Amino acid sequence: MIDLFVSAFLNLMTVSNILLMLVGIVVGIIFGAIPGLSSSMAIALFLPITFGLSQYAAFALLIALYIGGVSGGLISAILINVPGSAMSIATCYDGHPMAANGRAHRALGTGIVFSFIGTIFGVFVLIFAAPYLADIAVKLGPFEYFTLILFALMLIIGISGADLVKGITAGVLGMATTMVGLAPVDSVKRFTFGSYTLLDGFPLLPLIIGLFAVTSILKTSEKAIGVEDLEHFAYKKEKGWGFTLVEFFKQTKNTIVSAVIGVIIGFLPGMGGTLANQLAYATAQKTSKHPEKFGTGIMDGIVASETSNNASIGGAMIPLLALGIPGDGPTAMLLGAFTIQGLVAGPLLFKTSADLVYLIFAAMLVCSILMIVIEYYGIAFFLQAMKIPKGMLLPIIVMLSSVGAYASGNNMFNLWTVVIFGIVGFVFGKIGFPVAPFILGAVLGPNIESNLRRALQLSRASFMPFITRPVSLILLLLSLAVIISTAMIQRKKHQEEKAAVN
Amino acid sequence: MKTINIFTLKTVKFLYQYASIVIGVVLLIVSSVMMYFTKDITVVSNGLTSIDNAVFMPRVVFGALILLSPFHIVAGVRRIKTNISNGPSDEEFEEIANKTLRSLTALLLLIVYVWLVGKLGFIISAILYLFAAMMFMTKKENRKPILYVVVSAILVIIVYYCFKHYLYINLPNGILKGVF
Repeated sequence: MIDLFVSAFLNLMTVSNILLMLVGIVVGIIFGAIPGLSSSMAIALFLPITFGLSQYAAFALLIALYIGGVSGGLISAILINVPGSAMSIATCYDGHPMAANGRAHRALGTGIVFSFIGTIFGVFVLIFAAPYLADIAVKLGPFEYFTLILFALMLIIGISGADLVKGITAGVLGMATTMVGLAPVDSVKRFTFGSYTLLDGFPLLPLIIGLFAVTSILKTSEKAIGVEDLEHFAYKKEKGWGFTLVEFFKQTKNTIVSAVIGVIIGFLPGMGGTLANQLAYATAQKTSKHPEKFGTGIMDGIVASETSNNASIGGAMIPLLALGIPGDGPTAMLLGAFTIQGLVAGPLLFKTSADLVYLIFAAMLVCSILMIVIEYYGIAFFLQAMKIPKGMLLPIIVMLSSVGAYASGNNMFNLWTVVIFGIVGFVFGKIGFPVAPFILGAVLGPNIESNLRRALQLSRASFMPFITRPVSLILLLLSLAVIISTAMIQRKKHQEEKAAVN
Repeated sequence: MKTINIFTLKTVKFLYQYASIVIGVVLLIVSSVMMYFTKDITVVSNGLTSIDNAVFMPRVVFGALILLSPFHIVAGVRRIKTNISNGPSDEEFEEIANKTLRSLTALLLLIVYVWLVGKLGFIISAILYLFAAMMFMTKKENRKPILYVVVSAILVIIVYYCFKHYLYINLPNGILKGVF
């Protein structure tokens, strides 16, 4: 194994490969940071270029794009409260409040360092445990997937801060948006009302852009912005990463838990960083000694989100390399790259092209280091965005996001989706509905339905396997525990409020 | 303008006092309508079980929303007295109404922008939108119209060029078809 690693590093560390990885990381970060553009899009854009490259150079470039793309999402999430991709949604929850409190440097530093740690953790798990974890992923069936999604939804509802009924309603409303279009499993048309544009349902990226970017501009528009308001967006000049070693080590437990969540969710096909960041954030809040501070701009929230979404990269590579099953969009693109290079991803890859597999591992490690260096020196540049008056910056963000939304489907319906979900986000803010369960419902709606239907097909319409299969049962019990504990906490809170009024 | 303000003020006041009831009723009506439309969903015959079809999940989802709506209505009814007695003052309501009006104006700008993208094309509508939104969001005394026009035009053209030449995505040309 060590021989293979040394040889992979030697093959990788040529001047041209290093240059390709640098380009890949920078382009990936840009694609990740601009809402609407994604690492999948960056990989798709560069895929044709890999025709003319050697296998090693091609994968060095593509891995750099993947890692840069996932990490880049934190920049816009922190600075402008619009996640670059669905993988960075939870970074907004504490990253932006921290930036708004004048600690943008600290927020970016935290995000970058823990992105790096998450990626490295994921890569090590990938290197040492890929075949074993791939076996587990195959053994889990639709029963477990369904209950896992249910558990994630319950957890998000539990930490959403709103009352339980509002949280559940928001989650179900999110799922309701996924009922439009072609049904999973049998592709039957639903609620399309004769429109071809509705066949694909509401696209996810424009939905997220609407919920964050448009809602943000509508909220900021409540008051005209003057020169005096600029002081509010000023940031404190900080040294290094913006946090101390003591603060770093205080995050040890949070980092480990989030990284494990990231890897596990990452290696389950179809889940990926989108679910991982929210689940890790919810877990960090639920297990924190000071859950009330989440959402106000604390380090813990950024650590949970960024560690988990980057750890999911290693996780998502496990089924790709070990089984030939892509876990998310970017890995599906990488699967295409294997085909272009005349290779077949799967168990045989470790035997027939072990040199390439280890080169991919090495590229992931080198790209992580390049990523942290580039982003460290980029902090000062990213912070310049805070100097632009919000009255100018927000319309620009909305324009760029709308272009990204259009580009993600090449149609006008995507732009209208941005507007529709901007209104939804704005109304949610006014009536006190939490956005997080809505997003998770919208993201996981198709997964929950397809897994439920597959499970019911397997069991011939019996719900019994959900409680007879151990993993599924544990997840169901955990979901129940989360709901009951949330209801009890809220009941206690109501009683305290009532007593205070009386 | 004054009539709109009074109308907005009254609406804001009403929604504040009866928000949960309105949410519950709207949910109930919309979910019931959607539930009714589930009858139009084709049930393909190759399902292995009676519930393995495309109608099952929409019925579960909209059924759940119908079941949840009474909770909002009951919570709203319980809160009416508190909302009326502990609610904001008339001046505060006026401020909320004015803020809401500004947000609605920003929304209108966005809707016009998206509508214009389909008619005039991306370049013209994006420049118009950026200029209008920047002017609207900034206080009168701090506005810099010339800067806004220059920034909008340069930025939009750069974005258009990058998407066309580097991402191979043609943004709508509209009336500028053939020019760019």
